[in-house]
Amino acid sequence: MLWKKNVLLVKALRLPKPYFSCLFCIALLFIGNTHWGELAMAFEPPGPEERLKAIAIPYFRRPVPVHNKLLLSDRARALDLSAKEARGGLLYKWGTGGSFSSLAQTGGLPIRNYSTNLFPEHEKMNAQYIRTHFEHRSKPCWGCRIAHTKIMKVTEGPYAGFEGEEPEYEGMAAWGPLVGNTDAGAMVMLANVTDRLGLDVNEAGWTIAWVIECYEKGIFTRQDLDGPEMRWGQVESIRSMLGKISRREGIGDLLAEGVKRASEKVGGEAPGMGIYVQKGATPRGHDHRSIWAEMLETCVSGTGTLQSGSRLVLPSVFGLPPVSNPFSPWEVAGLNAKLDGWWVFIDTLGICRFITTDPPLTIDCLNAVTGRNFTLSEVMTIGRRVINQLRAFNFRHGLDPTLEAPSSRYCSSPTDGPAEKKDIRPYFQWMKNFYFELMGWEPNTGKPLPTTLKALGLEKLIGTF
Amino acid sequence: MNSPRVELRLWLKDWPGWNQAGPIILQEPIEEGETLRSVLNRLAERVPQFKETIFDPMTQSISDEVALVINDRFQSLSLGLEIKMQDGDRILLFPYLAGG
Repeated sequence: MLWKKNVLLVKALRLPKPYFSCLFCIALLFIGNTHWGELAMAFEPPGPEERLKAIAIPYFRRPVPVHNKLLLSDRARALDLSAKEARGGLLYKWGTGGSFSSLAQTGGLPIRNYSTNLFPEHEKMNAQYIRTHFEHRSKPCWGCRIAHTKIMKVTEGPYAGFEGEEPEYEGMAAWGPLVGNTDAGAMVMLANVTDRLGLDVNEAGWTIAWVIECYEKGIFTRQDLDGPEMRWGQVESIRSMLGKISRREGIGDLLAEGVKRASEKVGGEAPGMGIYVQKGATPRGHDHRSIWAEMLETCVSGTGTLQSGSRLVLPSVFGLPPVSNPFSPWEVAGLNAKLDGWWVFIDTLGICRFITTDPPLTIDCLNAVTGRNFTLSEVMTIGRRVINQLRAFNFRHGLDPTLEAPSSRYCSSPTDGPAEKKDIRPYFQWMKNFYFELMGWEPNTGKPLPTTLKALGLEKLIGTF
Repeated sequence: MNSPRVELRLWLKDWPGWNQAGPIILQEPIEEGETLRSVLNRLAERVPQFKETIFDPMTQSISDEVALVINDRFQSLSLGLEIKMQDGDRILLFPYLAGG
């Protein structure tokens, strides 16, 4: 494998890591939730004593050959323009946090561990606020013209003077509404602390929110937590607890296992307050009770997070009709199945999906580089092939399809807010079965059928799981 | 007596004068029993960017890039645009997007 020739593995000191520390690439952007993260973990499975700390990939000495530079230049320029204008230019102008207030007003923001769906403070926490009140300068990824990432300096509040990366949306969601914090500067600080400790911001946020709710309800005492109170919005307590988790110190040793394992060890009412997928991980930083498509794919995907991107990739770019009802079991399961393949294909290219908002232009660029003549149908097949390989891998390593389901709090019905009383529970199992059927898998278990594997050129996987 | 009106809040680029942190807020007078479709058609006639970004009067459909919330409740488009507007209704329109 090419990686083995060009990769230097940096073995860790013998330090046990939290279960949900994540893989950062050399540009310090989080890739742990993409298929790169999964492949890297498969490359060196962590054991109890040795933990993968880094993969260093040296620059290639020769430039990457491009089949048609003029065509690539033209198509890349068009793709760049398309990406800047997508969704009304929201990402380009405001970064991923630009959707913060949209989500707050459609019930998609995760607030106080799903105990409420109301967050009136969103306009003082969103990207539109922090970019117009805090100092910032661009710090884009190499070669990117979207340039949505910033270095930011907090200019107001108790954390004025703090400088670090502007949080992505996930960091804003975790360290703002999810933990009951309404100070934007504190949100910036906590997001950076999380990154510097090497923790996954989603799992860390859900874990802390669960701890806070447990403390508020008397399940945890100050003694259990080694001293500090953990109430909604107590920023310094949160910061301190993140450090304990990263060092597996005191209660941090339990919390480093993540919400599901920690809550199951605590027992009693605790698991009922945790937000997680039954097979282990937490979702992204959203209230998926108003985003049914993402709850479904988080539960059934090969990586434990989004896979089809059905809420982020418009059906229209694939020539498909729009979804008229995001709470329709038929439409949600159907859309996820229909779109499955594109996002995973983008992962195989190792490029950012924020630039690939136009599939035909993206494929044009790929063809210009490679000299191949890929079509949309062919690249979707490539993505489907990866999805099925991941599924086979997961089954071989013990995947239990009954655990591809949300925890009780995760699929609860909101008691207030824009999605009040929307309830996925009567439909979830049916949606899962329907999705599996549409993917060419056994409807009850989701095991890829031999006919499906054969159609994808994966005959060698038949009978192996 | 003030005529009935609805409040529209738009969190969208390419709106005239849009370069601010928060939404564009419009107070739009309505007729008794006027539908949402009628209000959107009127705005599309008056503001070209509205027609390009939000509502296409040719197809009579809202862009699938846009989420619609009426009176703090997520509005499914399967209910159509024939919803009758009432004095004081609040209509939010913004890109249908999740974070990353």
